[in-house]
Formats: sequence, C-alpha cells, structure tokens
Amino acid sequence: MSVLAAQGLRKSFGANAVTRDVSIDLGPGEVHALIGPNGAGKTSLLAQLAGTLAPDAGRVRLDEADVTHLPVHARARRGLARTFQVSALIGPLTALQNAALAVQARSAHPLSFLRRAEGDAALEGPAMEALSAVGLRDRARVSADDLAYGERRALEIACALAQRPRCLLLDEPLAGMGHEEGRRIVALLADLKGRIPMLMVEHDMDAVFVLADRVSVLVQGRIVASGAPEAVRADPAVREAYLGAVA
Amino acid sequence: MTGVVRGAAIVLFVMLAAAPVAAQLYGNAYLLALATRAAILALAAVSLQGVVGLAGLPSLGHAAFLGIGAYVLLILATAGYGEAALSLPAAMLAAAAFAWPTGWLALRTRGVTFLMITLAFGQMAYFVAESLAAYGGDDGMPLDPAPHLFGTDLLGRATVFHALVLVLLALAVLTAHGVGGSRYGRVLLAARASSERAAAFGFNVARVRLLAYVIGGAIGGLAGWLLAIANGFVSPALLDWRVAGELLVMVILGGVALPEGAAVGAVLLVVAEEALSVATEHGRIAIGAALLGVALLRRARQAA
Repeated sequence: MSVLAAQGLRKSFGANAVTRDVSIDLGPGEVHALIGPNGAGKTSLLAQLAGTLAPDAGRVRLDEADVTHLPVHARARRGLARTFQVSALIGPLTALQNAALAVQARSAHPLSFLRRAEGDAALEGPAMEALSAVGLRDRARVSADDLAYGERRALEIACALAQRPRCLLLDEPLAGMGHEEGRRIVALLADLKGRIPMLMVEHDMDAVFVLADRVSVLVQGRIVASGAPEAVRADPAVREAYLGAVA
Repeated sequence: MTGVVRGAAIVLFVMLAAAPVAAQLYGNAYLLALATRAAILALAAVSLQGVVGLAGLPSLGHAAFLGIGAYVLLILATAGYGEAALSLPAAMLAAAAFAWPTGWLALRTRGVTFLMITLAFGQMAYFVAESLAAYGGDDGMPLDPAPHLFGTDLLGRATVFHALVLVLLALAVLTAHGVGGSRYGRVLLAARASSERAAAFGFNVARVRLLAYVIGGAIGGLAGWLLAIANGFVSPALLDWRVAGELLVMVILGGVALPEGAAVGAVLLVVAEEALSVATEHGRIAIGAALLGVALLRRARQAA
C-alpha cells in the first residue's frame, strides 16, 4: 500500500534519456529522499509525478488510482501538492492571499463569481493556520514579492499544507538558503514528518539523513540504490557515483 | 493613478449623460449620436479589458464579436424578427458560441502567438461577413426596419437609446469589478502571475481563461448589437482588424488594469479622432504619441 507510486517510467528528449525505467514509491507517513548528482534527472522525475511532464512509458498511481494521464490540476485536486525548485508564488498577492488560494482550490466553490475572495473567513482561517505552521503568521499581509528568500520557500510549504495534501513533492526545499533559514525549514519538515508523506529532492546531505526514512539514489536517469539512509550511505556504488564525488 | 483614472471615468460619464441636453441646447443632434457611439465603444473596450487586463490574454480578434452581434441583429431583423428581447440574447449567444471553439484553440498558445491566432480568427469572420451576398456583401446593408423593444419603438428614440447604452456601460464596469474581486477573479490573477502555480493549486487554468474569453466575447456581441442600432447600418467594416486594434488601443490608453480605464480610453479616442480629423489629417500622430506616453508611464511604474 503506497500513497504515490511510479512504475517503469521512461522519458527521453531525442537521444537524451532523462528517466530510464524508474520505479519509486512513497508509503503512508514516509519521508523518501531522492538524491543524485546534477543532471541525474531528479527534477524531470518529479515533473512526471506531478504531471507537468508526460512520461514516454510507465504508470503513476496516486492512492492506488492511475493518474498517468491526468493533468497537473486534476492530480492536485486528488491531493498531490508540490513546491518548486525556483519559488513559484503569486507575487503581487500577500502571503495570506497565496495560502487562501490553495484553500479556495479545494473548496466547494473554487471559481465562484459571487463570493468575494478578500476577507472570506472560510478561506483565510485555514490559510492563516498554514502560515502559522511555517512561522509566517506575522508576515501574512506582506506581498510574496516582498518576502525574503527563505520566507518565500516557507510560504511555498505553507501553500502546499493549505491544500491539505495526501502527499507532498518537495523540489530542493533548502536550495539557496542560509544556514539559519535552512535549519528552520528542516525543523519544520521534521515536524510534518509522520503526518504527511513527502518525496523530497535535496542536495543537503545532512538534512537528508536527518529527515529521510528511505533514500533513493538517481544516477543518469536510473535508480542505482534505494534503502535506509545508513545502508545507502555505506553502499560502495553510491559512494563512487555520488557521495564520493561530493565529500 | 487609479484615482486619476476613476476621476476621469466619472467626469466623462457625467458628460456623456449630459449629451442629450447639450444636443438640445446647441440644436446639434450629431453631438448625441457621437456620445452614444463613444459609450458603445466604451462598452466594447470594457469587454476587451476583461480579456486583456483581467485574464492576461492579448486578443486582436475582438472586432469579430462586435460584428457577429451586429450581423445577428441584421439577419433576424431582415427575417422579420425585429424584437430586441429576442435579438439581444441571440447576438450575445452567437458571439459566445464563436468565442468558445476559437478561444479553446487560441488558448493553446500565449503572448504574441495568441495575438496572431485571434487576429486570424477575426479575419476569418471578416471574410465570412464579406461573403454574405444576401446582406450586401462587402457594402453591408441598412438595418431596416429598426428593431423594437417589447413591441415599442423606444429603441428608435435617440435619448432613450442613449440612456440604455449608458446603463449597460455602467453595469458592465460594475460587473467587471465584481468579477475582479470574486474568487474567480483571484484565480485569473493567479494564472496571470504564475500559471504553473495556479495549476499546482488545482485550478484548470485553460478552462478558467476560456471562460473569461467567452464572457468577453458575449459582451462584445452586445456592443455590436448596440452599434448596429446606433449606426442603422451593418457592414463588414465592423469586423475589420483595425477595429480590433483600436479597441486594444483604448484598453492600453486606459492603463490596461482597470475596466473604467478602458472606458476612458475609448471615449478619449473617439473624441480625439473626431476633433483631430477636423483639425488635421495627421492628427493620428498625436494619438500615437499619447499611446507611447501611457506605455512608458506603465513601464516606469512597474519598475518603481
């Protein structure tokens, strides 16, 4: 029983195969980290799970239902939330308005002409809860464009939480962050661990080994190792392909 | 900026509303006709502003909706169905029915490509109108008899018709604001800022945009229906891409962001063209300069 599962995914751009027969899954409450050197195809794999990129072959299942041919928004409606490698937020809207949109998307009337978006407690209540969870309550009325870099990353996570997701895809949640900011995000993710299953692409090995229940290593579009963090760390093939090159 | 545009909108609206009195005072019926025409084009510009400003879709095919609204009225009136209560919804539905499939196709693209595809669909509509031999071909045809409203000749009275146009214009601006502040309007804004993020939230961005395009088209059809009555004449000239271009100019002159801005842009452009065509043949250069000024101002404000 897994929340999110991919089987036999393949994707090529011309002669360049970015995903070669990848199967990966995410269990209930699990944090699964996907690591690998630059250009290994991590973001492409995430894009196929989220629906922004169509695989050439293979299946993606969400809560046991086949979603391979569902578009991004339909997968999101079924509970697949994500954050982007480069923050994608609605810049002119405030932090609260961004999170409220996530609540609106799963509400009974997401596209109502008659309900006003501003000041709607049904939207802003849960949105404020999500902001509080990531420590942005005091910054709720600041526009996303005016937030500091780390705050924007936190807001992305808040938006994903406001979607009440079944599972969460995180694309390098710590990228570009200072030490302090990074620690705060790790603490936040550690707090969510066990409640929301997370599939996470991350370069920061310390964070990966703190957070992950399972680590999979992607090299040249193929998963070369998968297992408990300690086992993967000790795997000679992994050390050679990846960890050795870094450390 | 918003305050200036809003103030100008109110002043111009009052002036339009006073046009029947001015026409009476100066004994010049043309003044009223000009005011009515300006108000109808303002309505058309407001409908395009929803598509361009709210939904972020730069359309160069909006004249087609005006043309469809006008031709539906002409065709129905010629066939003996001159009742406005029938032809008005028919005009709006026909324009929406054209907007739906063409918008669906055009929305597979963005930016300049979207502009070109809407232009292409607009030109297709133009050539179809030109080929309607039974309705005067490329010469067009007078609208005869004038349509009646619930069996009365109210629409034929210049003052009553003018008042109706102003009410519809005010309603359109207020509705546009209502939609802009609604949940739906918030999604349009989100899709404009980051369609990737809007989709990741779970919004069907293409469908949300298509709806805006279709509603804009329907209101465009309403403006065309009104314009046909105001002109007493329908011809393919209404579907000319230059009409679509002028509507876009009106929206840009008004600063793009506000519906009442588009209305201000429309009234100013109609009045300026009237005044400049009397003064000099090269008056359009001044309009070009004004357009450049607005564009630069917008850029400077966005950079600030």
